[in-house]
Amino acid sequence: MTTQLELVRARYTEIVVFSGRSIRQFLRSPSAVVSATIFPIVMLGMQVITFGRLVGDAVPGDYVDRVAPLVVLTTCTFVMETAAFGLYYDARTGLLDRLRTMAVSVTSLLAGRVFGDIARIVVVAAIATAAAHAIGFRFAEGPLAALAFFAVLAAFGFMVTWISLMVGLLVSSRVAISGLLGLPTLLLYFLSSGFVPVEAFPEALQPFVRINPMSTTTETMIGLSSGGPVAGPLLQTLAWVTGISLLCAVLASRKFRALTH
Amino acid sequence: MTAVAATSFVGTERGFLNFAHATWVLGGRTVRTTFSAGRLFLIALAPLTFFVALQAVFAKLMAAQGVDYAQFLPPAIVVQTTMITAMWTVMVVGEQRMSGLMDRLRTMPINHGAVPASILVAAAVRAAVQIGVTVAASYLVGFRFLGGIAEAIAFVLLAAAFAVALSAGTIAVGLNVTDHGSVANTLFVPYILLLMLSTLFVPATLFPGWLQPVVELSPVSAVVEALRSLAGPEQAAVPILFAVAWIVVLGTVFGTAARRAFRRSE
Repeated sequence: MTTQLELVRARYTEIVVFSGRSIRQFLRSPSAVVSATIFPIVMLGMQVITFGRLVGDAVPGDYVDRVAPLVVLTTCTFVMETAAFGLYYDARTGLLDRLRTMAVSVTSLLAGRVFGDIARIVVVAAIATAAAHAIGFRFAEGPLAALAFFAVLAAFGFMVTWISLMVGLLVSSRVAISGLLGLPTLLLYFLSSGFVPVEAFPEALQPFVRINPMSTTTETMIGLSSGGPVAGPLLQTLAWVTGISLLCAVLASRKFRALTH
Repeated sequence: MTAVAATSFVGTERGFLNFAHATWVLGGRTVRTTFSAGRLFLIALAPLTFFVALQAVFAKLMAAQGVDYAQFLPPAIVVQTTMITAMWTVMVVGEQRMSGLMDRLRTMPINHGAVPASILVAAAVRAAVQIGVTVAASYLVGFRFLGGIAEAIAFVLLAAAFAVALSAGTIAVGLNVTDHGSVANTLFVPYILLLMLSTLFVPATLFPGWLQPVVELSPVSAVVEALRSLAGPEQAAVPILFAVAWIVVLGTVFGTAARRAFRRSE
């Protein structure tokens, strides 16, 4: 007879095991690890070199301070495809069925993937931030703000992970994953205020740029690292994160339950 | 008579006519299987996405620098899509290798060179579609072929030639690697470096001084400047010849590498 406490302990262990599995799958592929760490650094370097004068001359302050948070944010989006693939294969290769035969709660798999992916995101983001530090990016608002910087990043990563999991569960083919995730992410990345300030966009697009979750998150992170408004962008970011995560979690769980019952 | 000829093992392998015929057949097969309706949509959508996004982001800033981005950007998107086509070619090679198709084709009495050549055909078709879509879309924001019809045709041919030369290189890569899953990752860094360290998106003068020579000599810059010249009011011989030279060099080097890689894996 299992007590409530034993159930909670069991759930906790399962989630830890599945998180570890998710992380280990990633670490097992050296090319994935190398690219996850190198991509943001290369992107950051290239953006500063190529667009530094074009944008920097038109904006006050260092271009690095604007672009580094955005690049750090893109470490979340780079994770999306592998996160979606991971769950897609788990669902298609019978892992869910095997888990159902075991005395394990299958929802722990989902939770494990979420935590594993967030752990990945935060570590890679830290590396990217270190690289940005090397080319002039500084946390000018103090250590507490720096922690908040990563907390906001993790929140964004949480939302991104749920989107990936939902897509991984709902698509019918592997190619659809790249198509569904790749292009919209690219658009959101470009049409955000991290790349260039909102005023540089055509008037018709500026409202869209303003409410873009990548913009609001980047603005929050810029505020936390170089100074500037934090509360406003933070509230918008939290609204996005809560809304989208809830929607994707509901849809993903529904599909997950359909697959496992 | 035809049945006998079809089962004859003599005369189906060597020679240019056999090569051309086999390439035509295999190329048609590759094109048909990789370009379903859904894929075509995505293939067309990708350059449009980049185009819209970059135009939205940089048009105003570039206007402040005195550059008409509507005329400046479309050739850059065209060149970028040729590079992405080359990366896609690696995937096709990987698919054909992993599914065993390449081995099966090699056991057949057909001209073996047609196997990688057919992939180049598919790459050329893909590039042509994306070039067409990009040019059509850019007309909507004001891009114009300020030369004549001949210059417009030369524009498309030059871009397609660059796509084929690059794809020959990635075919060589695809035939040499063992782990196809990570090839895309490995190619991404050189792609980004070539993409950014060029005059695709910003003029060379906006780069740090020490990088300007690199940017100006890059093959990517050469091709995009040639395309801009062809689309512009006056065609300058130097950029166009420079681009052609780069394409010939790359095509020869990569083509040889691809051929050698294919022979070695037999």
